[in-house]
Amino acid sequence: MSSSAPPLSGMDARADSTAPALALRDVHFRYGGAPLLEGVSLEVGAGEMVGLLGRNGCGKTTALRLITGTRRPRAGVVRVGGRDRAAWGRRELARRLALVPQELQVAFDFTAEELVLLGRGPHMGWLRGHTRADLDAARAAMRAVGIERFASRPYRQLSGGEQQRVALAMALAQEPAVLLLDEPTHNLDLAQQSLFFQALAGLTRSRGLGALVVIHDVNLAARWCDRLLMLAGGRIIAEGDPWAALTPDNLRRCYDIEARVLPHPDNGRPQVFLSQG
Amino acid sequence: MTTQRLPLPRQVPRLVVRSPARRRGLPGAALVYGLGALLLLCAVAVATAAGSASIGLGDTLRILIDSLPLVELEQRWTDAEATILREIRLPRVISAALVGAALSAAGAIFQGVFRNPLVDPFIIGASSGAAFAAVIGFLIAPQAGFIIYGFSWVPALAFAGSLATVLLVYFLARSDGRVAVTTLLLAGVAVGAFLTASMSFLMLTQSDSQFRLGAIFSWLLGGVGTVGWEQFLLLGPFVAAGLLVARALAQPLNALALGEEHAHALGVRVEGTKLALIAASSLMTAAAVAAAGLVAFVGLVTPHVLRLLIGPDHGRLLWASALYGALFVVLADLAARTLLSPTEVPLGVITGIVGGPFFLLLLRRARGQYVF
Repeated sequence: MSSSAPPLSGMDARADSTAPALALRDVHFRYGGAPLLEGVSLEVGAGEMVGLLGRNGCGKTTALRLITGTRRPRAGVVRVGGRDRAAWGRRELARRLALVPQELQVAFDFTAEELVLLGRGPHMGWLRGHTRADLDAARAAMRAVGIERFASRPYRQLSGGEQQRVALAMALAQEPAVLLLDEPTHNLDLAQQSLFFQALAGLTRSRGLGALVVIHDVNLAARWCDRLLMLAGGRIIAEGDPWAALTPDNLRRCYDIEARVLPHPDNGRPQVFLSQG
Repeated sequence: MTTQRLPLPRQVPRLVVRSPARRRGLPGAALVYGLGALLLLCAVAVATAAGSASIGLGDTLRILIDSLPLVELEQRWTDAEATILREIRLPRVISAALVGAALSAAGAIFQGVFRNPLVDPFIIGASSGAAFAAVIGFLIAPQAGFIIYGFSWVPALAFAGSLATVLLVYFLARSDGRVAVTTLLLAGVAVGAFLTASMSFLMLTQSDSQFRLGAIFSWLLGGVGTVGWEQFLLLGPFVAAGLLVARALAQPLNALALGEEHAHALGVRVEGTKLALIAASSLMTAAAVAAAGLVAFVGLVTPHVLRLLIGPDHGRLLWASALYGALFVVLADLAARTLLSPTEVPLGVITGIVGGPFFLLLLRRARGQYVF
């Protein structure tokens, strides 16, 4: 972590600094009768970008919901900073975990800056309103993702790529230890996808942020993630660095596809090519 | 590796981020509040001066100032004039201001909670419940003599009916400890339709009650008919408490604009916040309905107009809505009393006739800049 990075609020006396920033242990979940997750375990460490891959409906987004707490696991435990997530206060948790959705739906004509300031909510005390320090933190977050130019423009007049970077800045303003991203570049063009992940990778490296990214594009995942998890049949069926995870065998088990995996000519990362037929 | 770097700032120009209210050339909040307060004071003075017994604006001001504690002016007016002003006109003008503040603030809160521009304070049954209960009051005992907090039978019933209906709708929409806002809206519309139909049926079965039907209709169209200060004792505390609760929850309400899931991720207690906001605005609405019947349009339109002026932040929007809502209803009540004097035009007729075109004009001028 560079010395200029702000201190992480995830580190205080009650968070075990040796424990992974985020950990799921043997988590089970079902909607109604059908089991969705049957013993999922995973870890996200500081400064690490972890991609979560899997087919539609395999439970990736549900796993994120179990972490944010809008759903409760039937069995197993979700630990944040080494401590059961249920033991944290609601706002304490929002200072450790921040969410970047697929597309932030904003009612009303809030500006980019006003939205990023909402990310200061868990630090602010709702009654007091934002202080100079909150404003500074919000501006630093906007600068970190390069959106200071349109700080005062209404969010809904921004392009998709700009909007997603506003959502990222808002999450940064929470000063979390872990970012949870749900297909954050799903609606973006190639250039914007690349810009978004460059910004994200820079942040995980420079600030020691952990990131758990739900992602469909395996090649984008292979390019940017340090580690990949493949979820199928309610379990993590493969885990490891991109070359270890993205094998033809694992791709068949995860997506039921035949594919070849070749190195990218520029960076040597694996690239997945669907086989003919 | 030949990846191009994101243009991360090496040398960042000093950010040109003005206070969020001052974006896009919007007037600052201080200007909006100050202007609103000034206009409201002027409107109250003019509205108090106007009436069938003519008391000049100068005398009105002198009497009002003399009424303040610790101020004693040389008396150049008759005691009768002072009594008319202090005990009849001023209570009515203040009541009108509080009704406007309550309905507009409640409208701003409801629109925020439901993330929906078509919502007004009456959306989840506050009006139909009040109207139903009031009609029962008119039919059973129009001249019932007892008084609760300065309210006669009909307004007291309207207050109770309004709150009871909102509670019913809230619990109908509740499942697993959660209240989905769409379910709440639909339940509100369904219960409202049922109560309105039942009310019409009740009115049709009363063949002998021409006179009462007239009274019912004029109540339904709204009007501040208060005399004396007793009603202020009910209206005042409810409006003050409602505004304070809502102000305390303005930041969580802003977060709700991102949807409930994201608000939750920001550490907001989503269900508790919704319940507290709905309770605060429903109490304000019920108090306003008890004092003035069903005044249309104020709660729907005032928050929209102010969002155009000062942006969507609910902390500012709430105060501004209360201020300008008060101004709107004081002026509308003035028009209601004076336009066809001595006949009084129902307040809801004035607010609709004036408010509708005014709002359309603003919408046209905003030319698509205004997105809810």
